[in-house]
Amino acid sequence: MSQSYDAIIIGGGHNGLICAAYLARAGRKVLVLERRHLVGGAAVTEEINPGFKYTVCSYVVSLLRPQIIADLNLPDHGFELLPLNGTLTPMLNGDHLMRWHDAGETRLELMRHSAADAEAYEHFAMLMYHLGMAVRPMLGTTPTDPTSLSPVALSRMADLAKQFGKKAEYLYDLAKLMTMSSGDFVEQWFETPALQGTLASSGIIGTFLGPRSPGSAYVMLHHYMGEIDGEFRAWGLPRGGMGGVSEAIASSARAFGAEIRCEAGVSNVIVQGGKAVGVALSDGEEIYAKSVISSVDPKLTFEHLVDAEHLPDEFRKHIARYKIRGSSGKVNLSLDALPKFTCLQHLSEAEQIAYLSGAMSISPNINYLERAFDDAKYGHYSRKPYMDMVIPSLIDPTLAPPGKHVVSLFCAYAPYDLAEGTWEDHRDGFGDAVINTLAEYAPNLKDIILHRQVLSPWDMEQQMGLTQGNIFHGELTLEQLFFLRPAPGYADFTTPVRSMYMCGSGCHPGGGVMGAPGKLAAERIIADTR
Amino acid sequence: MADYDVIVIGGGHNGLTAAAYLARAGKRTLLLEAGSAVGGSITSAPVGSTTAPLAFASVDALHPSVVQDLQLQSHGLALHDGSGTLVLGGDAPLWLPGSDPSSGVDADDRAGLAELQRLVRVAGEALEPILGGALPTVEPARFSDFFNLAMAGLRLRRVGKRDMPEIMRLLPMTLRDIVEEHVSDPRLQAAIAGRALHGTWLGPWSAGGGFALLHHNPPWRPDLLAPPRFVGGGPAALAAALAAAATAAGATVRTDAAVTSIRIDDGVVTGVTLASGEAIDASCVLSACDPTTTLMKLLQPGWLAPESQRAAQNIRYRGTVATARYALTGLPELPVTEAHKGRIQIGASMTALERAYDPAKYHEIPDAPTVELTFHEGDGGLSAHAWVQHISTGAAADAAGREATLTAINATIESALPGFAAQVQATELTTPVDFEQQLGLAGGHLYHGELGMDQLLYMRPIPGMYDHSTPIGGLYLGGPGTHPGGGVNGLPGKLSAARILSA
Repeated sequence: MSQSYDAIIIGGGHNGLICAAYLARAGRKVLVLERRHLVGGAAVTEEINPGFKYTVCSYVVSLLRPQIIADLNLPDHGFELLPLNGTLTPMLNGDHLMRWHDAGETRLELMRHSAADAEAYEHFAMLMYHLGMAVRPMLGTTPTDPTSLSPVALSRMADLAKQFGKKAEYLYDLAKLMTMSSGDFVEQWFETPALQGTLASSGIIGTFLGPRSPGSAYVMLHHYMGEIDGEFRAWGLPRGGMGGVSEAIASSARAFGAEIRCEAGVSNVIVQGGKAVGVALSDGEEIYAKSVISSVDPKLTFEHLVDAEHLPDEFRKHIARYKIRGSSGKVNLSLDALPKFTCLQHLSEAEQIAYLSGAMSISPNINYLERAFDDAKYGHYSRKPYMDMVIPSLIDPTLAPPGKHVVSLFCAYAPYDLAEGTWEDHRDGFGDAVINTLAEYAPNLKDIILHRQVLSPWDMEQQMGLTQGNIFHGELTLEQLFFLRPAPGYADFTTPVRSMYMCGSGCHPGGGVMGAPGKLAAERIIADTR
Repeated sequence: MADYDVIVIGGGHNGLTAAAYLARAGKRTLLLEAGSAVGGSITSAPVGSTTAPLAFASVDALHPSVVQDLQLQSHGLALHDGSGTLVLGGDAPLWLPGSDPSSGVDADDRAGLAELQRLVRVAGEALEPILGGALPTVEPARFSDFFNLAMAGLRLRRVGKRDMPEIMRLLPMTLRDIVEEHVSDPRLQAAIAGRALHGTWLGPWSAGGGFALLHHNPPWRPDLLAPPRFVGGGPAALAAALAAAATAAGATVRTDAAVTSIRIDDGVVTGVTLASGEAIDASCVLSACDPTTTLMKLLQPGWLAPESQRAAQNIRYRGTVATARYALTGLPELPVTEAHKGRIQIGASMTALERAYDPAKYHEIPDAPTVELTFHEGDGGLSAHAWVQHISTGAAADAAGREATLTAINATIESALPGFAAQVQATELTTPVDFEQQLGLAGGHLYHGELGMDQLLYMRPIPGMYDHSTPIGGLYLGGPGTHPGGGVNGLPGKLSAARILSA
């Protein structure tokens, strides 16, 4: 029998690592078990092509809670966020729209397109800031169960009501934001199609929604939260790629005393008498602990790692209907040179690099995104995908050999469920669609590609353990957010199995590299096991 | 003293309902209708040598209190339920008889259907005060408002710990997800979803379908597969009964009396001015026209605060409908004979419904629109009415668009009912642009504004006007552009009248 721990955490993704760090910091004996050879989950850097380090899945950080960065001393462990310059949207007519890190520069650029939009942009940013502030307290706390009539729950609801009351003037805007589509929302503010498309696009990431789908405006706010935690427009790339943040958290966890084992995949949670007492690895080894915490998604957890007999029927039904449809793919490239965007060719090389040292968004207008979504609805990848592109080597030169580059392309849509065939059949076609579309804006692209890696949702499921390739461990739609995430009655990181908890993005407040679920779960476990 | 206590602008069914309630309560009421007859969208129109409904063909959600309070039956209203729903366009026809719809449902789906039905019914009952009544006031910091809201919350909580999250979860979901969780026959899925999409700019894949499902299956008629409810004598008979109730109670109803402006002095209403130049005084005006027409055309600019002006400009009228009327020599052959007394939905899967919705997003005409067909005994012989959701205003605006629309509708009907075209003597198409011109509706929208999550409840028509009042003294709104929204339920008229009477 293996030595016993206070807590075993299944999965070494960022939430699992953060949970481990907080538990270890509180004096608990913690073991993290990671199936792959490296920690990080979907936040990893891998040298898929020798000399070129791909930030394989996740590619930017902004939502990582400042409190977590401070509590875990992450900068001491190598965490450094290198800011992105801004977002470039190439336009179909050869022009471009650039939104800089600096608000003044952005205003000047927007004035070039529309004076009204330049004016409106500042008010829009202000509104999103206030709405983000109104919602932010909810992200940092365990959701209250509205079905409970306990005094504690009622008092928390009253607190919530009071908090919203303070933001009364924004209540209607918040209600609109929670119920509108991102496209409709931005159309009420702006007239420049490229600006509309780019802003609306943040509402579709990680969802199976189009920019015309109600509910996508909330996701836009979810992404906007990053704007308010520090500097304006503080999206950044960690030094070392996304793996940098995972390694820093792992290092911090170890410094607090946590143990992390890689190549140790868990195949089953051992339950005795309704209580989780440990785990079994795929090679049969059994390890025991007082608490077992799963950081992998709810479907993987409850449909594969916990035997059905230990779960109530109602709960299993809720997990079965939990929506986790993957809708995006990832293409990573090694390039022999910088891509030459047609819309930037009038600029010097140095100026071009400044424009390319941020994100590039292929989102020329809202209809473009909606048509991409239409393809996905019927089981096809988008023939003209939406893309969010970053050239990490421009920001962190250690990621590629000198003069050469790595490119990260987040692409939507790529539905997990295809109408015909499998992703093995269609992976290359999808990759081609992505490259061909990007080449329309940067014609030298195909000539400079040295290597490409295409990850379909199926690949993400196989390689990273993301069920159906959904990057957020479950869609961010209202019916499975807050007190409903991942199931009614279990939004507090507990599970129907005693001493078993959840701490991943399938919990409140949802996905993105936030770390909030990991921290909140740790707090719950610490309180339960005092 | 002014000639009237209340002027009601617009003689559609909500205006008529409001006028009747107001007159019965003793208010000297004048109703002004721009057209030559009252009825608005509750009317029939000529086709060939007969007539057929112009807009709404049935009155599925007419609130029973309106029928009862105004004693409409004594004024000639006779309602009867159709024979059932026939779903065509799939592998085989699906017939859901009105008397017992689930008898047409596959055994495998019966349990799921029953559960979904139960949920909709429970949700409707819990939310009935809101769905069928005025919204609790929410001016912040008043204890009575907090109390009202708390009571509404408690009512929801009383459905039980298990059902409460189920209901809260249902509302923002897509119709596709809701229906797929319960039943698997695509034709049945389409039957449930089809009607729920009326007046919305949603497809089955769009979030907010739960709201729409509840709106179209309200607590006073919660049956998901209910047959259509027809008015004996055609929809205009409902308008006639309402008008009779209003005049019997003492209201004056004038037609050919278009209002061009609402007069305001010092922040309060003083009356209206007609197109003819005639000025009529009243200290209270209730507009049953759509909110944009009321706030942006009938009011002088400047009376609305800038945020309200912006909000009014942002009211969306997508999700429009086109209708087609056919004069028929006889009935086409139907796979189920009695379906001619019911509703025929041509659109037999969620995918078909979604594909019919996609083009509207780009202002294009669908190749295969979803068509709902009903047959009528017009004044002069048999007719048919086709209701086609998601024909966008822009797409069907010009001659080419109209032709493409009619071609698509006819092709869809013919493919489901071969031989239909052979029975057609005459055809008339009414597009959203036509509705805009003929009925004075912004965007030609029969529901006076999209039925979307963000344009319902406290946000309908714009923030701050959810209780049918406006910031202008004596000015009220009472069309379907206000709570609880459209479809022929009569509630905006009833609630706005109540609001005036309680002021």
